[in-house]
Amino acid sequence: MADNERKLIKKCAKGDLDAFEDLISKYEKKAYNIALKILKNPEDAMDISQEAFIKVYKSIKKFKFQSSFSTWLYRIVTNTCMDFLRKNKLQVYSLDNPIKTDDGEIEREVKDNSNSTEEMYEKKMTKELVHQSIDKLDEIHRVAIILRDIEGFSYQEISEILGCTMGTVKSRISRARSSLKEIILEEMEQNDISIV
Amino acid sequence: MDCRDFDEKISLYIDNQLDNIEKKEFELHLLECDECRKEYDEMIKILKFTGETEEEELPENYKLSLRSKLEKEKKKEKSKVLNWRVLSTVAAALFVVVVSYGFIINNFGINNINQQSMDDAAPEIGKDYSGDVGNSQEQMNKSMKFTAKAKDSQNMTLTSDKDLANGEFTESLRNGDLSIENAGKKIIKSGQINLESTEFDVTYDSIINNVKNNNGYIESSGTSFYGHIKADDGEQLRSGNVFLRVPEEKFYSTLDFIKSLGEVKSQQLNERDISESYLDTENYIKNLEVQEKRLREILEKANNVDEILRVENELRRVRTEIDNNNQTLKNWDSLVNYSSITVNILEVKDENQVIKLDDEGLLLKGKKGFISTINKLINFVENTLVFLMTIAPVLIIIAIILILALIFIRRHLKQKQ
Repeated sequence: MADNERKLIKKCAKGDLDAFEDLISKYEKKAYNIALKILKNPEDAMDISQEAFIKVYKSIKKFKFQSSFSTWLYRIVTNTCMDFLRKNKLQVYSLDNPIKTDDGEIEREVKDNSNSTEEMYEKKMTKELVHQSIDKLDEIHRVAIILRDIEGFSYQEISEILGCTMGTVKSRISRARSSLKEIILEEMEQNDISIV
Repeated sequence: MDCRDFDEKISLYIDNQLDNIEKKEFELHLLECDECRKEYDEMIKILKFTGETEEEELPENYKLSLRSKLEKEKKKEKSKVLNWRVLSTVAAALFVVVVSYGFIINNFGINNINQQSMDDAAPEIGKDYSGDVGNSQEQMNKSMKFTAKAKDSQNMTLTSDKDLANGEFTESLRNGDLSIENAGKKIIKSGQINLESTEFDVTYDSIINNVKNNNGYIESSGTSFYGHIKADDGEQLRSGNVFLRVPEEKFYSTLDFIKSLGEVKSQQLNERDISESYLDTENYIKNLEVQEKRLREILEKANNVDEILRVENELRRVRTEIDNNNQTLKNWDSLVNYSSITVNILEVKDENQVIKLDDEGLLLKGKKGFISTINKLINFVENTLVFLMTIAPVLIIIAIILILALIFIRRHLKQKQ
């Protein structure tokens, strides 16, 4: 860990907010993106990633420099997101169900990108499809894909972030990818597209 | 390697997590099996799309709102620390108050009570004094320690006692038995002395010896351990009481002697003049004797059995009455001739006794002060502990109320937030 970061962390432990902002500036974007991918919702992603940063600030005194600060931070972010999901499990809604409001039911609108050129359309569609499929994965597998294939953490880092062994990480990533592939193939069959 | 095995290893191969042998086997199968190659290609493409995800930019107000949230958090933390500081200060203050209250109660409370009872008694001297003296004696017996103030009030008791005695004398004079000299008067004297002594055995023995030398006798005596206070050497302190009788003329000298044996904590004197009753009884007996004489004369003159029996009956009644009254006189004589004294002795440990006062040098004085301070400190700690234990139930209730209040306030604050 860089000496500079170490100094900043010690300053933060004394309650220096400027030092804290300095410290997390490198990680803010990634943390927000992780939260966004896990939670699939910009508002929640903002709230929860900020909540995670507050947790980091509050418990930075307990940081013992045994792991790298970044993995420790991402661990808190992931855990906070997972806790949020667990708490809101009952409120999860499906795309097929209409939203109920006081004024009656509104049909959910799904984005339609039909006005692109053919090639662009196909490519975009496939990319869109992959990401939609990722969103359909269950939490544990989605997190594994996000960390490994979107954010590009190493197996070692992932095991630290998720707090599990390398073996678990390997099998989890492997299984996540397989089920992602299954979902994508199924979707493509339905929409009659093939991977370019 | 078969296709199923291959399927499982695709992910690891892509991330280069296979060892060399597995890698070779995997690559071999990749060349051999078209189906698996297709699977592999699909996976590579999917992961390529996945990896192409653009990072979303932070929302515009992200940093600002985070900053304000952090500042709020910091304030909260500070107020929390402050809260704890305030709470601990209050708790400490409460503790000090309780302890010092205990100290005051333990060290001065008794004096106050004594003082008060003396104040109450003062205007009533002569009315119902003995009752009050009795009360204050009780309180004094209860208290193990006396301070200077207590001694002061003690002196008051003693002087008042003398006044009382004088008052009685003058009163009996006014009532006017013509013989002014005490010798002819029948007075029952009794006294009670409460003593504190550091040398219990010596005091006890010398009282008994003195009584014997004065031709008196001990009617009853007893010794017992008292209280929870143990002396330094582990010996328990004793209290004793002696009820003794001495010839009337030795009464005052014996009293003085006993008083000299220790520190007098209280004393009480009682002189009851029974001269008139005594005289009356004597006359009554004389009358009865005259009656008896006449009855005997009648008896000699009696003619028949019936008469004899009736006279004898009357004679027996008179005789019994004479005997009874003579007995009363005898009792009175004994009471008058032998005055009674009740002595209560309380063994105490002299706090400064450890020092032999051969030479009151500077060092010794210092040592003395040091020891007395230590003793006071021990006393204080002991009293405080006792006090704390005494008010423990109240403290527990207060603690529960405080905790409930705290929880309530916290909840309230949270809701506000």
